[in-house]
Amino acid sequence: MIESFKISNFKCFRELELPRLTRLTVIGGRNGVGKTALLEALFMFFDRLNPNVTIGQYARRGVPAVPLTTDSVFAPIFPYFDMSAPVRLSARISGVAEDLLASYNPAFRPASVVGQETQPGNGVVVVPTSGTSGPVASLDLSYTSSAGRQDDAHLLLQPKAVALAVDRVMADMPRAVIVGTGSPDPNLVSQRYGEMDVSGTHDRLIEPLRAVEPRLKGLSSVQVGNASLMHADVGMGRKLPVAFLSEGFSRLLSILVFIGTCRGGLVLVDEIENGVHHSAARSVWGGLAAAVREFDCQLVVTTHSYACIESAAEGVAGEFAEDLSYVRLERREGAIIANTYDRETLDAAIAHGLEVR
Amino acid sequence: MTVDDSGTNTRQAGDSYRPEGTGTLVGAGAVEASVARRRPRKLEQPVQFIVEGADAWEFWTGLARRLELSAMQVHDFRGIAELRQYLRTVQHTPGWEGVRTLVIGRDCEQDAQAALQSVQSHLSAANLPVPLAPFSFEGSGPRVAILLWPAPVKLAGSNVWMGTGTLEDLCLSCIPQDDLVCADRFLQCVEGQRGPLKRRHKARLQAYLAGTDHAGLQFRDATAAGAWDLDSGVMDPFIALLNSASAYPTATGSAA
Repeated sequence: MIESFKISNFKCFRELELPRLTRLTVIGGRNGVGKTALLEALFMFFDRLNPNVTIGQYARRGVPAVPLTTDSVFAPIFPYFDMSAPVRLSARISGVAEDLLASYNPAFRPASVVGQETQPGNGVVVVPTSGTSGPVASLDLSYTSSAGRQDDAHLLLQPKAVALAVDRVMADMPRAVIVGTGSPDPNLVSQRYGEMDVSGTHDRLIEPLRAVEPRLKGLSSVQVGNASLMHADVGMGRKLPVAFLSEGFSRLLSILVFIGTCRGGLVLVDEIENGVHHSAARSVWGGLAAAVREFDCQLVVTTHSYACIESAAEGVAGEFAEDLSYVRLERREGAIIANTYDRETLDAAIAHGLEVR
Repeated sequence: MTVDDSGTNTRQAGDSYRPEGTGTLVGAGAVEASVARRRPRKLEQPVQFIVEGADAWEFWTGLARRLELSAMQVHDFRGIAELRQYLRTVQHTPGWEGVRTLVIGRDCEQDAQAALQSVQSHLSAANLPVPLAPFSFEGSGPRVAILLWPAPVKLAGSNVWMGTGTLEDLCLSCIPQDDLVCADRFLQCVEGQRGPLKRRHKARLQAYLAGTDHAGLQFRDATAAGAWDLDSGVMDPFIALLNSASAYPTATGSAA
């Protein structure tokens, strides 16, 4: 579990330190203060060996295609698109110090490697690369940990794709998933549900989902054409595609499925309040708290909603109470800082009706 | 007095009270409480005056409005047992970085020295400046003052503060003492028949109000209706402190 996280030179952050992250961390703050960028920094830390690691942010923002230029693919992760100084992401994960350095290299010469490449909007395609090409623009990714792990890879800007050239990588990376403001790819959700079905944990989804759909009796992953889609039994004589139920149900299902398939990993959710009726929010939080504990996962979410934060404080209670913390990002004297509330302070702020966002 | 986000300081005299916290309902409808819940309070002014209880909030809000202390926001920390956590939490609240002066007010109750020490210990625990005496400022960023009422008096030759009483006593001390003769006779009669009253300060205030045009009003409503003479000299040290709090220069050099 990530216990602390530090960002240097990433997007809107020159320096940002989160001294304390808990199993359930809620991020708040005004528009444009970097809540989504923080999620993306956390995601990049875990997803560093995915060739989609930088251009994936376009898809999450609804941009269908981007030109394959350094300005579009690499520069957006640097403050003011200035690639002269490297991005550094540092985390303490279960007592181990880990560090990721991302540096722009305008003239990388690939060695003979096997890489992956991706194009915006397409799935990842594994292709062999000859390694005999001339210098190419690269985002050099260097990861080290105090436990002795070291990964070195290069995100390469190719004429028709972004490729990943790997010098050295060790196995067993924890999984991370980021959920944008809408519903995730239903095919991916269905595939992940299949993993839970195989492991026999899929039934754990029913109870927390009843917070938003009390009629729910069961779930199935069903092949429809070339896609696999989730269907739900809500007592109507036949199962319905989840997409035909509420947005809130669909989204909560996705989040729970990702939690259930990210053991030891991280699920990031932007604007978690989307689609959830306020009357269900407390139960939803209770279900999420139990799920992340059961599946040994960590959940970091953003919200603009005071009601959502109140519901979290009410719903994440009892044995789970200390799993919740709240962080408000705020601009102060030109810099963005993190104001961390422990559980006691968050409860007091809400009890006194004090603003926390 | 400025309008805060919760609308709690926008109330006009005669309106019912709107609680500030998550809203134990105090003389108001559920709709008002839910409004308060939806609109959490920000720190919007450089002078924050926090007082103990809804009645105190009503009283000091009215005085601040009367004095046109536009840089002051009054909040209710509810009870002394919650002050320590409130002082920690308020430092996380949006707008705290702009707070230049923090004033904490409470009743002397049975012992002014004990009341002072309790506030001092909570300030210390919250890593805030700790005034050594009431009615004086200490520190900066923010500077802090403690107000005790009705009127603590320093014991000659020591740093011990004497005095007892509550906000009700302060209010009653603002009116001509001849006006209390009938109320006191009534209480004397009652106590002669039934023994000492447990909440004599409240009984005295209600007995006084019963003989005025404010008969039947609760303390906060009587306050809002202008039952107390805030021009009384009794209020002078409080008004002087609050004026001084509001006149503190900001970083830009203008008065807070």
